[in-house]
Amino acid sequence: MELVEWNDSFSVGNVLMDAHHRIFFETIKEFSKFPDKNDHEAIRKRIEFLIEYAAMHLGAEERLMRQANYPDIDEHKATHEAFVRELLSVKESFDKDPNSVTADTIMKIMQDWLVHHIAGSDKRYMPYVQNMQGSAH
Amino acid sequence: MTIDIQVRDHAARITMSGRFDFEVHRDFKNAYTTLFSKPAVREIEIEMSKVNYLDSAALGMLMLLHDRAKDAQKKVSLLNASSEAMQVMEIANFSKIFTIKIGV
Repeated sequence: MELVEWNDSFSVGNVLMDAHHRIFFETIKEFSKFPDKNDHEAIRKRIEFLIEYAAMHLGAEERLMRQANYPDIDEHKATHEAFVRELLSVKESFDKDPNSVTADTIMKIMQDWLVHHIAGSDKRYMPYVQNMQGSAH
Repeated sequence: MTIDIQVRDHAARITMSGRFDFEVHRDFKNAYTTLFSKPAVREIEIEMSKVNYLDSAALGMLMLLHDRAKDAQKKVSLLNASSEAMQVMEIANFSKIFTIKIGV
């Protein structure tokens, strides 16, 4: 799996969201290198952690968009919900048959979503958040 | 890794020792979750002077605590992190997000 490194082009102009995203990238990188990739229990624990982390991040992002009066919040939330459904579906497949999906596949799904979501959807709320932050100063 | 919790007046101190990594996820979460139900506890301090290793998942765990503590209306402080731990935390700009105290 080719790992994507964080760089400033991923910044959405908000310290907390950038930190969430960066930790997401770093954790995916760390988990994709863990040595016990045939240990199903170890993989399951990592999937659960990433799902929990993703859910926290998406919730925080939705709160921020609401505060910034981002007009396309419903559309954005729908992409979040679709991602959570995809993650839960992967987890369900893994729970039913741990050999049906590899740790690399799961990490790749998360990384691909993160890269495309930040570059696409997240960048669109950036001006509204920056405007709100500017008004607060 | 050992996790010790001490409650004093309005602050609860969770002392982490050893490797703060993915393996302590559940224990760390259990430690702070028990404090959320204590109205007298207004601040949760994470004492890190004995942490000798910190991974990205630990940053994620601290971020989960940061988010949930806000919902529970508790403050969070990170105490006495070593310069090595600070370097790792600065990957994600923790000094702009958390209250960080050294020498307390």
